[in-house]
Amino acid sequence: MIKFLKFVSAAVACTVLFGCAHPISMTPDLAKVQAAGATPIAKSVGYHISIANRGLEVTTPGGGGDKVRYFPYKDLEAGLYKVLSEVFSSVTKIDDPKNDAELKKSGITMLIVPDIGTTSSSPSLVTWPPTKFSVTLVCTITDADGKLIQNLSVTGEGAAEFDEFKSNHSLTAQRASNDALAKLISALGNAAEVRR
Amino acid sequence: MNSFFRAAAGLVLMSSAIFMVGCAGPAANYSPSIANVETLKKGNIVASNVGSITVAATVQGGTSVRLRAHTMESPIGSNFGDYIANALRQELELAKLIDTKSSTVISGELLRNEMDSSGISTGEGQIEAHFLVKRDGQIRFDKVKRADHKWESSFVGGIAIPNAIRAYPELVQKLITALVADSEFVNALKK
Repeated sequence: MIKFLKFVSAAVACTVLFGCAHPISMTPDLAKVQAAGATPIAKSVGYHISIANRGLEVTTPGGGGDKVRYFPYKDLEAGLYKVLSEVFSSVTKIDDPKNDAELKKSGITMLIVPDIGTTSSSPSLVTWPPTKFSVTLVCTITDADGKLIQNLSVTGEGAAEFDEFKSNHSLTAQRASNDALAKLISALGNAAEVRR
Repeated sequence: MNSFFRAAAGLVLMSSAIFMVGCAGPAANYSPSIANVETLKKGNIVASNVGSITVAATVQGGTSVRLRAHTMESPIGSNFGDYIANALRQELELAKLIDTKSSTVISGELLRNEMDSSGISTGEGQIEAHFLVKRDGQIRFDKVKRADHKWESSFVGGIAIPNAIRAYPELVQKLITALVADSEFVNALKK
């Protein structure tokens, strides 16, 4: 019995201390995704996220030797849609960018394909939520014929300490998402090639 | 060596205390369904207002939901009716179909809000709400919608609890999808 209890204790200790990948959410606060009073560019744009990317779960470091896992594309899609709605007059989701019929029917003049990269870290030995998080959004912008217009890249940063994230373990990720989306609004709005 | 084990045991207890028991925190942010947004945009509907979604007196998880030893609360307003109203507002806002002065108002009452994270392999949630659409005070839609959701759970509270927290917006999204997919709801909002 004592051996069994020792085994269970060791298993629990290992599970708690090492190697866990804790789920978090990168979903931003959409109320904070806003262009500051700028008039939307009168263009109809589309964006494409592949099915594989939408289902992609990423694992990156947390604290105490643990990791965190999340769905970057799924969590950021609504935020990206909101960014495009703030910058352009019309936004459409494009399921298959190689489908000419879908592209024609949608009436879009530009297609935006995002590539999302993330990092996370924590110096803590005891707590697993990351104290730092970054989101890099690289947007490949093409015209309706697939000709490259511009590549835009922005990086959002999020940081939080224990007192802040003890009730919301996703806080640094959410802050990084909001920062990246705010920077993307600004970058798109200021891109001369996009306005032409 | 003994002091090493005492320190390790202390860390285990501290980690457990912090992340497995006795905490209270918000549900994850709601993320609108782009499919719902596109359905609303194509529906030829009027910009509408979202009123209040109250919580029926019989609902146990109206203001807080127990996830093992963790208590999940709404990050919006004072209860999960406010969370659902805000979710619906976000869907309409993303479709650019929100107007706080509109005479077409969507409101409702939360009838059920349950999340069971006790399973070691699967968590389950059920949600049910009564939705009303009124235009100039006249009822145009009056139905109860419900949704179920299952998610991966774990023996370890440090995984099961965050999994459940992350699953709640998905449960609410399914409820709103059930509403938006109802042609009578879209017809009630038509111009």
